[in-house]
Amino acid sequence: MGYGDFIVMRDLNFSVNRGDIFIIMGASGCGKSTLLKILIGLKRPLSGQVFYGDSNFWEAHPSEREQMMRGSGILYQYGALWSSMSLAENIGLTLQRYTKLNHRQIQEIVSLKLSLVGLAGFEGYYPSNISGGMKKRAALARAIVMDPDILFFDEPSAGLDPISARSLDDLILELRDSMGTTIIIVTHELASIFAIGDNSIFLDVDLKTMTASEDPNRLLAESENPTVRRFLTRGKEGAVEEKL
Amino acid sequence: MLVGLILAFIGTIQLKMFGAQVFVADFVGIIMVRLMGAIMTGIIMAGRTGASFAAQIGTMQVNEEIDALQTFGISPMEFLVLPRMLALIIMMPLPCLYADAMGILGGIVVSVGIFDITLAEYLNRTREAVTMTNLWIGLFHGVVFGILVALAGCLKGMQCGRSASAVGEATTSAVVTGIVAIVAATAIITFVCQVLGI
Repeated sequence: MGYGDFIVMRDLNFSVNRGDIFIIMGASGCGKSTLLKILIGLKRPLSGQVFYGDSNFWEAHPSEREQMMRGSGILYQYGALWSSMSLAENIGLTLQRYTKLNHRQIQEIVSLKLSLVGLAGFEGYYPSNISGGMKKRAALARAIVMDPDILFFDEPSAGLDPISARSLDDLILELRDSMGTTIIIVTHELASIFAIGDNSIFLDVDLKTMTASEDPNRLLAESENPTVRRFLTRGKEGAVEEKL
Repeated sequence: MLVGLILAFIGTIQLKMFGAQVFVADFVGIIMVRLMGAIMTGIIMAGRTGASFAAQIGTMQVNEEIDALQTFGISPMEFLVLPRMLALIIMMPLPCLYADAMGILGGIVVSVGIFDITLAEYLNRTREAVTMTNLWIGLFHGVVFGILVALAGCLKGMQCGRSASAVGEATTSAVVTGIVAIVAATAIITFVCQVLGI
């Protein structure tokens, strides 16, 4: 994957088990977000394939691809709520477009999803009127409104205080346990990685490929790769070569 | 209004040399209704609405709101561009008519106030000179300018980069593109009208 002639990462080969919380980790600038864009259909890989079940995502017809995307929800780094719409409109938009539910039913589902993320009563608020953490929770409510099979998270803890980050982690675990959703998270927040990750890949920015694929806690205990150890121990162990 | 005023000043001075200053009403009326009202409206819209479209959509691009639309299977063209374009197309004739009326009023102020033409005389000449064809051509200009301004604003917004400075650049570019497009479209429409004899 890359941009034009510039290769960001190559030889990525991994699969995600149904119901797993799968972590894509690596240092800043290693291509985690680019990989996420490829997985969610915003960017075509330079070569290679992405499979959703048995369906080849990038080879599928655009309408088929759109259908596959409807089965997934995405939480962007800063929420990406539509700023001109209230939280209720943000969350209800996909229901309005893709279901035959009437206005009252949509409002009920919106309220249910908002209360699920701890934002009951905030239906009429606009994104500019709520805090960063609340925006993320509202965006999560929008991501799960269609009860997706797969949820993608881009840096869910970024910009959150430790307590909000922890409660978001708890919410992610709750979602997986209650709905059986497969969750793919791009992050470099070690606390979250160890707390919620079932499986992970590590993208090495220097080698431009993935160098580990394992349960993150097991990686911490067993990996002998110096770059992985350095990352997972906040630089206490692993590669000694200092870089600015 | 100031454009009508300026046109009346220049027109009257030139026409006075031939003792035909009463025809300044024809001159101001036809130019305002057929062209200048729409052009002035288009330029103001490019500076205000076109810039606003580019800034709104550009900011959405920076905040990943457009990515969010796409991943939810909602076409940004359908959701963001089309409604804005339709709004501008539908609304453009109204400010065009207002600009026409204000331009003619400017002509009246100069002609009646300074050059001894009576109000009745001026209005009669304007009524005789400004035909419905002129009015329709003026409104057609307005609609075309609406499309161009909306397209320039939305296009530059969609092409905006992912930084705050990119939003500023997109906004500037939208205004410049809109105004250049208005001038180019005016030349084309004028030429076509000339060929068609209207």
